[in-house]
Amino acid sequence: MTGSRHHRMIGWATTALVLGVLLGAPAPARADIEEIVLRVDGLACPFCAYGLEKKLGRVSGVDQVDVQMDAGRVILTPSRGTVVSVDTVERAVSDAGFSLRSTELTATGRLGERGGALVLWLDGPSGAAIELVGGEVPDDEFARRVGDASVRVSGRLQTIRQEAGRIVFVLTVDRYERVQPA
Amino acid sequence: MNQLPRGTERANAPRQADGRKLRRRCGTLGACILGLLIVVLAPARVLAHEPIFGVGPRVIWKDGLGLQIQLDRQEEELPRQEGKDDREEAWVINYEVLYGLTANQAITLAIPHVLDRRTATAQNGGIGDLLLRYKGRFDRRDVPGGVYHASVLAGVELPTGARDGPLPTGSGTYDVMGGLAAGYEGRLVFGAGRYKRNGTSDAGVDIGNGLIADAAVGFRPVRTAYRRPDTVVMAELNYQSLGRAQREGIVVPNTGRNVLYLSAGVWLTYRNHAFKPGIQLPVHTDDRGGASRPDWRFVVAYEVHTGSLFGR
Repeated sequence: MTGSRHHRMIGWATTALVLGVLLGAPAPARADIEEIVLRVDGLACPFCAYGLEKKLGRVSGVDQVDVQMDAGRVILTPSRGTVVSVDTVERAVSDAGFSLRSTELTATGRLGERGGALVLWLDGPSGAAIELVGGEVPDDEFARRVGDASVRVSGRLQTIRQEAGRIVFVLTVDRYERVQPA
Repeated sequence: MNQLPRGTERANAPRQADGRKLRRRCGTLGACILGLLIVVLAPARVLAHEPIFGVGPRVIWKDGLGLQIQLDRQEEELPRQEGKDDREEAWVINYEVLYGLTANQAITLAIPHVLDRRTATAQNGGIGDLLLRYKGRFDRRDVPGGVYHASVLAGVELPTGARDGPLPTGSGTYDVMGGLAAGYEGRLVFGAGRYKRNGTSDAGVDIGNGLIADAAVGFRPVRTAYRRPDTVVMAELNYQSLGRAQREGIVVPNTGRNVLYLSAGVWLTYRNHAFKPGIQLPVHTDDRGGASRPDWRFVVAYEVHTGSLFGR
């Protein structure tokens, strides 16, 4: 084997190794609000509901709006990496001439603890968080098993508050699951 | 709601009541009322939308903009003069702009353009009296799949129409209107009442005031998803009472009438677009001995809702 051919083979092997590591490595943990489900009253006709789609579509961070007349709900898909202002969403429903009965969130993040409460960090300990209260709250054993892995939580939003410049959602949990790595 | 341009004084001509024709129309009316009651009992959320010939309580969303163009064809039977029959036919295009001030308040500007108004001996056309109307929804209760709501109405017609010739396009007066509309979308019913105070024309005629009452029901044969074409069949009862005109305290002959109409129409919608044809027939007319008698009326309208021009 000549020297130049040897060097080319090493180069290709190194590239293959690096690509293999990158493609084979577990995906970094996602922190995201994946879906917001609004239970809306007053959805009497599609023509009347257009204003709701229009108003919600203009909320910063909302990527898709899916109006489901029969179910009386609207599903919002936020853009990746954004935290949609739920206050703004509620105001958009009101400005459209409808009533918001409840809000449900599905979010992915890392479990943690703060002040004795179990939380789902959306953006690290300094970012937005979801306090998990009531319903099917994950127990300590589950939190210990998942460690730093991503967890997906769905539930009904109870309230939102601001704490030291950080948004905190308070959620009654309906279900949770560990997000399997890709 | 569109009407023929007003202000033309009619000659005095007594008219005979047709008893058999009235009984036939009452029988038809009774059957229609029964049909409406049957529709009222239909399953929930198959009934919706605004009346086509009346005004409902719904308002457009905050900062929403609505545009409507409506073609209106009306025909009236004029008082018989000197043994001659004459009819008046009018084609009108109404342009309407609707804006949502808040989630529960909206204003409408309606601009009528009389394409052609004619009788056997006269013809005219041009811009009619502009209408500026406010609607304020003061009561609203949203429920799953429906809403109960009620609105107050207020409007003014501006004397922008022409007054020349035997068939003027305008009344020459500032006319004000107030009323209430209420309804339950999702199960029925719409009801509305309006009172219109007509002014005094430049010929010194105090045109009689009007009372308008509407009841409507909409029936959706097939419940569809949001991004699918939607069809609603409308049936309405419309009542109009126009008082006699007076000149210097003396009643002008052949003015004033009470009319009960039966109307039918269809709402065809897809997202923010709506196509609305309708037909209106008088089932009972009291012309008070000489006023003109309305005949059939046909409208077809296209309405589109869009975001605000201000980008909100």
